Amino acid sequence: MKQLIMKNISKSYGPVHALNRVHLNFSENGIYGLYGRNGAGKTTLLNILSSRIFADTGTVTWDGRDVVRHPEKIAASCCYMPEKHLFPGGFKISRLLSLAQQAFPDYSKQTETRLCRAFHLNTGLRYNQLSGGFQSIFRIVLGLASNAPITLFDEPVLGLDAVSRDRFYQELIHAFSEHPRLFIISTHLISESADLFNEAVIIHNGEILRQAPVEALLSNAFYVSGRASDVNTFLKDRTVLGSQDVNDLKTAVVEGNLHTEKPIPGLQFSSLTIQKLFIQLTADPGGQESDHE
Amino acid sequence: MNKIKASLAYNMRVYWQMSLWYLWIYPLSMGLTYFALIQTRIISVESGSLIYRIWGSVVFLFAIFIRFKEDFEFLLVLSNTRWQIFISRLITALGFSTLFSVLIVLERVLVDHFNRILGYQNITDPLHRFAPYTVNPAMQFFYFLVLCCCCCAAGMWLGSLFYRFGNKFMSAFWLLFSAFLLIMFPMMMWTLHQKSLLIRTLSAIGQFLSHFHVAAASGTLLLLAVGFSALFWLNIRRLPQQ
Amino acid sequence: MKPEFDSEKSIYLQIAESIEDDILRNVIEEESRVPSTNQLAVMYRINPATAAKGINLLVTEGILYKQRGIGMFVSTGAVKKIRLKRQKSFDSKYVVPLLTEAANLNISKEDIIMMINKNRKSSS
Repeated sequence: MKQLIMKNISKSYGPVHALNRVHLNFSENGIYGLYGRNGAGKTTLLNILSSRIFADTGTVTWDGRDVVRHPEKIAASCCYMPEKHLFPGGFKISRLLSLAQQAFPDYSKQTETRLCRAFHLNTGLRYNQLSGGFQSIFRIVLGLASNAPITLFDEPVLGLDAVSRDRFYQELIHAFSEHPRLFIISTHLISESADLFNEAVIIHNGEILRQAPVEALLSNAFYVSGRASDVNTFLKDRTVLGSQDVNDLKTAVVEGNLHTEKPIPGLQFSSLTIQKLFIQLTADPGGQESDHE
Repeated sequence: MNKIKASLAYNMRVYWQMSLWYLWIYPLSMGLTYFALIQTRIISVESGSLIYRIWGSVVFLFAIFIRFKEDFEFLLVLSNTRWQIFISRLITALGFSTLFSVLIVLERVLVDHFNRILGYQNITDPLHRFAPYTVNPAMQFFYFLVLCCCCCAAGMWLGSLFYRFGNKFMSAFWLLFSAFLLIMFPMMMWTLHQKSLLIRTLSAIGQFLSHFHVAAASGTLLLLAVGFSALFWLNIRRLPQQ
Repeated sequence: MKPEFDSEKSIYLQIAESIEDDILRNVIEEESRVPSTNQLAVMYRINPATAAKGINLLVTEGILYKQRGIGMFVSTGAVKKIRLKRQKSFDSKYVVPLLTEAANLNISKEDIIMMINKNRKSSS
């Protein structure tokens, strides 16, 4: 099983540490989600994986080969659709797609035609004539049709309406089941996308907080709520991820498995959604409620 | 290999579109200028002549090969390695240098032919004395080929430097260039004039240019072209996307 | 089959239950084909591994079986198996919560039995 491995990757832009000692493992057939706040390091991470930029320290290997020393190996297998608009604006979409067909060895013209129809993408227009949403759609079509063994998407659903987003998720799974490959997708839409992923990676301030299947993440945290005094007693000697007080009542997010907890009178345990877990893990210290006194 | 084919298809199209502008605007403006000059009797049809002009396009080639950002970033999106980007740009530069060299030699052949038929002499254009032309068309073609390649390579290297070091570097470069052209160069001329050396200097330069050794110059230019290409490669081999 | 999932229970469990519900209500008959893992994944916009986990759960319990190259089928006797399984968990799943909530609301055992009899009459 081929692996894409990041070992000890660090990258700084002057005084800013974009990535700090990142270790990540991706297996060749899987869909991985990359979650992080704005500026957490998601784009830097994807750029380093695809050799758009180079890390200060550490190595990236694909199938055992260092991608910097053997750039042709990763280039032949990788398709990275960035968030930025890096396409020549004056070129027609049809021409850009045919260039992609030449450039990517496993490209499927059939998939491209089907997707263009599904998303109503007018291939006769020039790239700079497309709206922001359709530029995202164009990147989606290209990325999925490329059939590249490593396909990276940086915020693929930016500016897309709900129908198109849902279509993307459907087409992503369809593409993955027909032609398994490694997908890494960064997105801000956490609740929508969580079910797509084999594993989710949560990155915060350049460091990896979690890499695990979404279910594992959710089975390792839960809400405890009740009277503040009771809750505080419960929270002793536990890892608390966040809490919220209203009058005399308190709700806290705590690490542990909800189903192995002994029921305690006066306390209610309930499960967390992945989006709430993400917010708790990456919110500013002091909590989200601190401004509303 | 397919990556290079795709990159070439893209590069050729971009540069062809840019060259088209030059290839019709330049002859058109030249033709109109001469027509105007003849109409206003500044030059007469008999005393005038057809002269070689298109060789000024080497400057145009230098200028268009400075373009780097859009091509580099798009070719990276198509997952080209930096080596593949380098090779495809080199081939594009060679292709367009060949095209323009063919046009330059063709122009010379046609102009000489028409001058002979119409009985003109190349006397009214002072710059023509210093144009690097030689009798042998093959040598002529080779000379202009390496001259164009050299200009393309220099432009590519400069463009990649602008990309790497950003807008501040680019502004500093053009500022220095303009300063030299508009301030330092005229001041140099004035100093020479003060010392009554101007005429002698200009005629020495004139002597050099009119006894131009095309073959030797070709060799030098070839070395320069290779040098600039090497510098271009060294700059882009680990160039991060901005 | 359930059109959407909720966030309370694992998705693969919800898939398994949803298929079981359909088998129980005869929406999917015994020895007929159920959607493949990939079909389920695309339909629900979920990872195929999750869909596979749900299907495999039913295979392990003998409710579904795999025919190589053709797909997943409902086993004969699946309805009985499902009924038996659910009868066993009926107690902890429905009765215990009912009694807990009744205790919270001070509803007596006699009141519960009265409610049961009233509803039984109207539903039969």
